[in-house]
Amino acid sequence: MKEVYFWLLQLVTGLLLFFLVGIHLIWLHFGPEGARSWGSMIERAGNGLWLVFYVLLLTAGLYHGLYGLRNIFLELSVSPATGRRITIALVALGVVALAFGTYVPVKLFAS
Amino acid sequence: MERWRGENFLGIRGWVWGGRYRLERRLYFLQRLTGLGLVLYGFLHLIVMTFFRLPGESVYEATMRFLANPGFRVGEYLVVAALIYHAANGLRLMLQELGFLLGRPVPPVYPYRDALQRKRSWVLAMGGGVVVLAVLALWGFLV
Repeated sequence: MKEVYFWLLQLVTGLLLFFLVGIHLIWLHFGPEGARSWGSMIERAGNGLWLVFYVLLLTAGLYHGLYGLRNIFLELSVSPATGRRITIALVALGVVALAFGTYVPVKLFAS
Repeated sequence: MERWRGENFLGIRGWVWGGRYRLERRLYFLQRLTGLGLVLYGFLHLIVMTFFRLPGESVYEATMRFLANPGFRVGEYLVVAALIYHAANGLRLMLQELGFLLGRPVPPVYPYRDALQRKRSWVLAMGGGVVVLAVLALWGFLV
């Protein structure tokens, strides 16, 4: 039963990413001139709304990507014990990546 | 043989070929392929945007200049195209999963057509949308 909620979260994060990645792409590729420059990046980094946006994007992206990867691994006829090890490894990878990816924007926001 | 064996004995080969696969099954394979590519790109993007941002402006600007070369721009476009496909097909799968694109149940009368075949127009609309958005994105990269 627990698996159903994880799957539901996969759908919710997918929908969330549809909008968040869309905004990210449109802003950086079709948005204001020099959106990728250091100045523009620092300006966004100092804004709390952008900080929330990026942390949300990172969290949803990591969950969606790593849960999808887990599904692929589990479909390859692995034993239940190997499946558990894969899940633990992917959760650990996700937590490390989230901490690593959140550290920089939070540091830039605080500075 | 343990119980879990045989549930998917074709393994990765089964994604590509395991019988008379139809259009939806091919789209499923592409969904997997683009998903794996996007996960790989996501981690590379995360590493680049953290490691090369921390040292300061000069390192960040040098990295951006390096990534602006044509080879990386082509790769970047392929990532955007994969993202467009993954998002559009994912949205279709989501609507299908929740039962919106399956239509009403019908009696099994010959010639048999399942729910996916009866709603093939949604698949074609998704395909058309992907092509239009991919061309628009290409225009954005070229201009």
